[in-house]
Amino acid sequence: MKLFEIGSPGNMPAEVRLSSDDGTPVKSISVGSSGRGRSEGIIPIVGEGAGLSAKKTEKGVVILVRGEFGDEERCLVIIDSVGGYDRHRSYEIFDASGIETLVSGTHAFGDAGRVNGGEEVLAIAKPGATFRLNSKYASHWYAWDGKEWSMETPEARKARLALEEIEKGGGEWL
Amino acid sequence: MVVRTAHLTLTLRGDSVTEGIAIADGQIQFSPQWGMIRGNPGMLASASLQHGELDTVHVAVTASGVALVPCEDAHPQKELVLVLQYYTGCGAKRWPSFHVEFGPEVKILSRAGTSGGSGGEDWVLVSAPLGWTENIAGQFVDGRDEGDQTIAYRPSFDRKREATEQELAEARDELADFDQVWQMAIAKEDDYLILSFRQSTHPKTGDRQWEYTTPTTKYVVNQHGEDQPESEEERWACQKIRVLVNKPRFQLVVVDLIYRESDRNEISAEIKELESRLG
Repeated sequence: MKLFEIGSPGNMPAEVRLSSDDGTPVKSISVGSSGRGRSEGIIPIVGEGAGLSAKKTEKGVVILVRGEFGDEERCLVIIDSVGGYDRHRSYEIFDASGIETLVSGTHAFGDAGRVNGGEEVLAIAKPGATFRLNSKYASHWYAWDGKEWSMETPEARKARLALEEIEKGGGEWL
Repeated sequence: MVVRTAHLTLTLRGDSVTEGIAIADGQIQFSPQWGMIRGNPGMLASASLQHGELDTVHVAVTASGVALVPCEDAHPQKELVLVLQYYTGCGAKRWPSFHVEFGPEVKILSRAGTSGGSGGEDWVLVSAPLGWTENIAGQFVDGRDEGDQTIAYRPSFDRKREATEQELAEARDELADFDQVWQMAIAKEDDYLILSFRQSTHPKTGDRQWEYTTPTTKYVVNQHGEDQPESEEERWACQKIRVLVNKPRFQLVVVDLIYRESDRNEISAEIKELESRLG
């Protein structure tokens, strides 16, 4: 499986490199952050190879395993749902379908960590998976089709769905 | 059988009505002149046309929003109006805002709005009866210091009739003003006089001028005034505006012409004509 990262709501998912510039393999990734009002999840990466797969150990710990695996339509994705600071904005993964969360952590604002933050997760996205993220002012829909990610605004999504509905004979004509 | 009503598309902004609704990227794009878009403004309508201008359309309301399908040959029975409501921002705050009070005669289909900045806009897509847009636009007065306006549909509103009524009120005011000025001129109150002038030549410049002379006073018509005499028979209500020479035995006075005696008949005739037009 490929590993993608949505660094911030509104960003296009980018594929994560699992080696540093000098070729040293990355040994772990993390989601969330440490500190008061926050939680961090660390995911070890073991093994060798170009491919990547997720595995849950007998103790329930999720690890990523390098190796040679066949083509897979699913993908791994790190989703950071927290946008810019706003006291009243709600940050989470909305209207998710086809997403299986493996590990989650949380981000927060301020030293006390009491101001609304949100979660960051490592998840598996199945083909056809969709979800919505809020940035500070706007919202965006994300979709994984088994090969690549796409993003659209709620307006573009509604426009597309409305046309699809009338093409299928739906809708109420005035 | 599915019944579809053809809608004529119109865009309304204040007193301006333009035919058609612009489409870009398969949608009515929200592009306000006032305020700013920070978040998601809302989806007004999608269209089967990618780019261009819609003329006559069929309208479908779906679970996701409004969809428009062009139907150029159909005879429109309703109007699909994109109402661009706005309030002005920095630099134009003395200009009126434009809003519409949507009554039961319209069906609100969708809306999109700004979310910050100076001024703001709220666009509303409505299905309305034919003539609705012109009715709203005709009532809006887009003038400085006219005040903010929220316009409601008035089926009885007749733009021509209201304009005629306005003209009639102005003509009646003018007639009352004429009578007042003429009476003051007869009584020689507040520097008003009744005079008739003859043409002469300015003694120094040689320019032609209109004047009225008495043994002690010469009244000269202000050459820069709005009105000038056209004949020597006319009687004018005029007002002294400046005394150029003031000696014990001679005065030279510049006057402005206010009303010609025959103006009263003209105003009265205009009032009669306007009254007969109104019935």
